[in-house]
Amino acid sequence: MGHYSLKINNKIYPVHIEHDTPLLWVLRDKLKLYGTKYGCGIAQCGACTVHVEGIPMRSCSIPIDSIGDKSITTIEGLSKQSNHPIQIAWEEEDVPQCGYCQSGQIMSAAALLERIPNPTDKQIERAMKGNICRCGTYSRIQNAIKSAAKKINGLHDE
Amino acid sequence: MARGKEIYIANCITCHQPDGNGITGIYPSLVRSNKISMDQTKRAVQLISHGSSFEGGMKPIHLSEKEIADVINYIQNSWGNETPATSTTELRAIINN
Repeated sequence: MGHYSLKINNKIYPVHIEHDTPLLWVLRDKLKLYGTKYGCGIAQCGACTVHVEGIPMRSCSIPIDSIGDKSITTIEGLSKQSNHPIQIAWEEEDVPQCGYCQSGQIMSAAALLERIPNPTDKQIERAMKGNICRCGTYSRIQNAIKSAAKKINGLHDE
Repeated sequence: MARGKEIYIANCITCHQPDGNGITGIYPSLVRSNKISMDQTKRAVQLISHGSSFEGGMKPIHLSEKEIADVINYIQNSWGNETPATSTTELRAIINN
């Protein structure tokens, strides 16, 4: 067992837990941050994606001992009022079907727009490849990311 | 390199980490102090395409031949690694042999 001070969504959470506990278990079972979902448990589906130092990572496969003082952002901390441009675009494009994968999708998409503010279709496909949607809403996800990129860059639909 | 980096972020970075060092005792480092050999490149292609044979080891990553070439070139020329670029044609030969 170890004591950890986790920096999550700009708050410090003290946690006492086994060293090899995956971050996802800490988020959900210890801290009751249920927005991040458990999908496959082996970093293959992307449902559990969070940002670690701004980089999208699969929280199911990161042992808590490797986090150190790195800053973590979950879907709960992406924006103050669920109004990140990606979240707004998600609603406008009516992206989710069952919705299970969407917090992971949104976290990967938000990180993409931080790295590449105006991505091409190929760049979106490449960045989102690790996030699976069993409902097959990929075209709506693509549209929402492009729409959010336009908003971020101050462009408007004709 | 930019394409390879994006593929790395989407598919590899959780386990092998932003600095390529992996996580000690769990996920192997991709950083090599010596020049990377053709055998190591073949092993990388094998792992990406088919995964590890070990229980709980790396799972196959669904990437095209071009994407495999891009990500291998990124890995093999980052964090101090130095290797001549592997072309998709060379990679196809590795995959098919």
